[in-house]
Amino acid sequence: MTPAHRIRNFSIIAHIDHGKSTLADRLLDLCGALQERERREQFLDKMELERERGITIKAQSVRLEYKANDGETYQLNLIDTPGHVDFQYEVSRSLAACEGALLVVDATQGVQAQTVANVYMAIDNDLEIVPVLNKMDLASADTERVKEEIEEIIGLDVSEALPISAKEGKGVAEVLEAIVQRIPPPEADLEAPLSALIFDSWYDNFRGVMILVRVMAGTLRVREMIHLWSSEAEYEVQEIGVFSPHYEKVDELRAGEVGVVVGGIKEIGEAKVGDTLTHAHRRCEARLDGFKEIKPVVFAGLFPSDSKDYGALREALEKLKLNDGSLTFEPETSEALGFGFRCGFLGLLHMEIMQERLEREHDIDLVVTAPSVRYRCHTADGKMFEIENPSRLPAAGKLEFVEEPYIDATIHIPEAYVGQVMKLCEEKRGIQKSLQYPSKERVVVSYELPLAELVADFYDKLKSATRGYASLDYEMSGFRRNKLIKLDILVNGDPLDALAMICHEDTSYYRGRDLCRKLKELIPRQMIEVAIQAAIGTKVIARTTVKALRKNVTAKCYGGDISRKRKLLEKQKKGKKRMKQFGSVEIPQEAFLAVLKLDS
Amino acid sequence: MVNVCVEKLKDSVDFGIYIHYPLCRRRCGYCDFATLRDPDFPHVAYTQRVLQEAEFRGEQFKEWPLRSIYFGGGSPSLWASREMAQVVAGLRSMFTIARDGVEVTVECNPQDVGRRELAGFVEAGINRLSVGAQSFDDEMLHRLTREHDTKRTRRCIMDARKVGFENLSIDLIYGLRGQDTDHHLEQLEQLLAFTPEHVSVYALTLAAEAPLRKAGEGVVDDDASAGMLLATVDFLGTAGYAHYEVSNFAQEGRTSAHNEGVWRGRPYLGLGANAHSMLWNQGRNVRCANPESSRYMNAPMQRSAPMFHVRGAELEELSTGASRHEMLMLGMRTRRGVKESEYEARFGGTMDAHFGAALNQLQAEGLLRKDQGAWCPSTHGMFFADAVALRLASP
Repeated sequence: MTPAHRIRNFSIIAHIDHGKSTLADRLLDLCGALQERERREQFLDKMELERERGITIKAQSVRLEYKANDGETYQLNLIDTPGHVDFQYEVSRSLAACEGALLVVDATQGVQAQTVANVYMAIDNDLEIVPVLNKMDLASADTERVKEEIEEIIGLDVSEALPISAKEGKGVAEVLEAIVQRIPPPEADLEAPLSALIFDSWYDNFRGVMILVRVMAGTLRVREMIHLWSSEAEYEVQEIGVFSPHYEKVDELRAGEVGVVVGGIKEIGEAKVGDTLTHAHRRCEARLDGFKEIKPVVFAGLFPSDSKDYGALREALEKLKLNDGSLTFEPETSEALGFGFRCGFLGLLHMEIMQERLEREHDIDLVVTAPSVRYRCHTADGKMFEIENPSRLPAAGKLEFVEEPYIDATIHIPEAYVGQVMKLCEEKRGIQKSLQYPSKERVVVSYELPLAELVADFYDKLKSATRGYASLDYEMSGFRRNKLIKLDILVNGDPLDALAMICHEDTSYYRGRDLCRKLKELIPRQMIEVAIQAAIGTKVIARTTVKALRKNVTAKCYGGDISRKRKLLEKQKKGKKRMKQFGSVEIPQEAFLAVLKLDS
Repeated sequence: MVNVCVEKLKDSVDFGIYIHYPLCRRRCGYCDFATLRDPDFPHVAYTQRVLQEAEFRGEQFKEWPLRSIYFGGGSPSLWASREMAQVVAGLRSMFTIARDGVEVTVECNPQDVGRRELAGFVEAGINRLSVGAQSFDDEMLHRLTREHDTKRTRRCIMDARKVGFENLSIDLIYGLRGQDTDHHLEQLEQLLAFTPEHVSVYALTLAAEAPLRKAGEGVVDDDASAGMLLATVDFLGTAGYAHYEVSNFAQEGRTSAHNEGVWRGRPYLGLGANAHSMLWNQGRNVRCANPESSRYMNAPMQRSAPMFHVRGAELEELSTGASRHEMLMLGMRTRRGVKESEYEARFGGTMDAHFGAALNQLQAEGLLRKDQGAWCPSTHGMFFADAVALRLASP
């Protein structure tokens, strides 16, 4: 049993590719936690998808035993955090479980926007920050410039920054010593009523929901009854465990410690991230600070390419939901796409990940509609309702006004790109909030932007306008009233509901024209002419035509041609599954995302 | 080939033999066929080898009526006529001849043959000549990297008539970039001066890696190509040629018996290097591709039940569903379509039972029609044969 003064809880803050996972692996290695055969790269990133994208989606935690230079053995809990702006809230809760954090900065790259946001969050949580300069083995490492950035942008003292090369293992021992010496131990009142912070939860097929907690006060033992604050659910603790890094059962978790609680919980929604877990018979006085109900902000229709897969899609979504309380879905019917679901996500990356998991792990071919946001519709009689599907927006005359969600976006860019970025933000209906020069070369631009613009193509545009040098961070800022109208797309005279979009009145003509043009590129020529129209209400504002094919036939079909032809047809037939039949027109899946690919 | 269905059919179902001669003087810039350029090509040994293969593999076609022999390539017109004569005589003695006789065709490049060679072909028992004219415009021939000029083509065709060919087919290519419908119609007009019994008109198709494409040549766009095909159908129709397959036109009774067999889904035995065969096994199609020439010459013959083949041949047995689809895919390229009785005899079920929904839908769209016990394409449907075949493919 480790006394609280020999416990250190810390996380690692780093931008993608700055070496967080590599450093974590080295720490595990030095503490003797890994077998030789386990020393594969990035042990902590469990899911295949995460490994491929090089980012961590779910939080993880590892308990390490470290024999320090003072001769004592310390319990180090490394709390890994998700690494993307879509998962900001989860990051904040993981940080709340720590007393300190390693700030890892790539010495060849410097400080990135997302890192800054996370460090501020760590400082808000009163964490001790230990700056670490990684990739010192590279010739392009510019220690002085990066130190200057850390001081100027973040305002941290860098006199004791640790130069390391996680890849080569250099300086990692010093990092462990710094964790012990510089990060404070947790406060630990073992006798107080139990309060534990839930900072992650996931579903295990055998054990049910597993809750990752940091015990803030008191002691939790197996067989005790627990109470989950916001769901008011009560369960008996069946098992307590820690990852070191393999799962091991333990008898208790004491104040200051981190571990997993299993209580036969079936619904992940009962164990919300940020919530408080306490004893049923002796509750703590108040819920731990910082809890938020997180709500999806990006919505898209997910439809099975083959309508027979509807049931399979529902089952797959239910399974994903077991592990991801932030995913929402409800049945939706589209005239064009049939039966499917309108799903809510935390952001675009979250949406992409879910889509990939559905297709890869559950083997369901999907047609996904362009992502949308949640609009507030206000009627003349003072009523308000929300819509998440653009095709549901009532005609202009029936509404008093419409509000759309806005974000506060913070963009870090090298000075040279300020002009382009400001131009882009203005085009995307942004409202400038500030422009700061924290160092000579770097600029921080803040804009209030409609979330709908971000969800459309803002991020891609930003990347291309700045050759990838920009980093973007955002949070929801509220709703604003705008002149928003519904743009319908008609195919051979019939509105195609899945292509309807909501846009600002001032840009509607251009959006309609560009969308018609893009659809003309994406819809292949077929045996009949396809007329594509953009309309507001009954008024057609743009039109293009996909001319009918005049023939579709192979000239020669003898001997070896025959096998080739048949195989080609079989391949095309498979490809056709990804087309949707709308009347007698075939529409490829990409067309439903056309709105994301407009050039304007 | 023990098969109840085939046993029952064999009196009425004939078969064809395709013989591949791989040698070419040089490769044309648009060609992706199996060809070979080898001055020391062992054609005497090749002849013996083809006959040996026929002897061995022909076992499975004993008692089937032989309706056609087709020399393709490569350039079979480079084969010495006395050797072809041996092949024709050998095959005639091995198999039962069909009631309508055997159609014996050789593909012929104008530059390969003079009157003496053509006379030799007639003597060898060849009764149909398919001349690769391709164009009657020297500039276009040059751009297509053909070795002959129009003068040579004219002489070849006239010589063929003089030595006694009464069944002549002429090939044309259209759609080289820059060609328009008027130019194409001029070519057809010049071709008709020879009143061939049969005409093949092919849209130029260039694979991505075709040398012609690398040389900067290209094809006209789809709309222009469709316009030219439509003009061809009108023009040749007026001149008395029936449009009986996507790219083929014939005077009354002069369709290519060999190719009709292929498109009706009838079996054919492919002999020689790279030759393709189509065989039947229990209601399934078996496609077989012989190995290339050097392996072909030396590999032993073998039998892996129930097929006889050259070792190294690629065998592909289609599923019943794919075999059925293949019959429709090929049939719907032809005016006669697919006869319900032929389909039922082959597969033991009706087309309506197997493809009913798709057939009816295609009929409603005007692409197919049901006509005197057959499902056949409309003219419009023939222009969309690939789309029709795709719709008929099983998911």
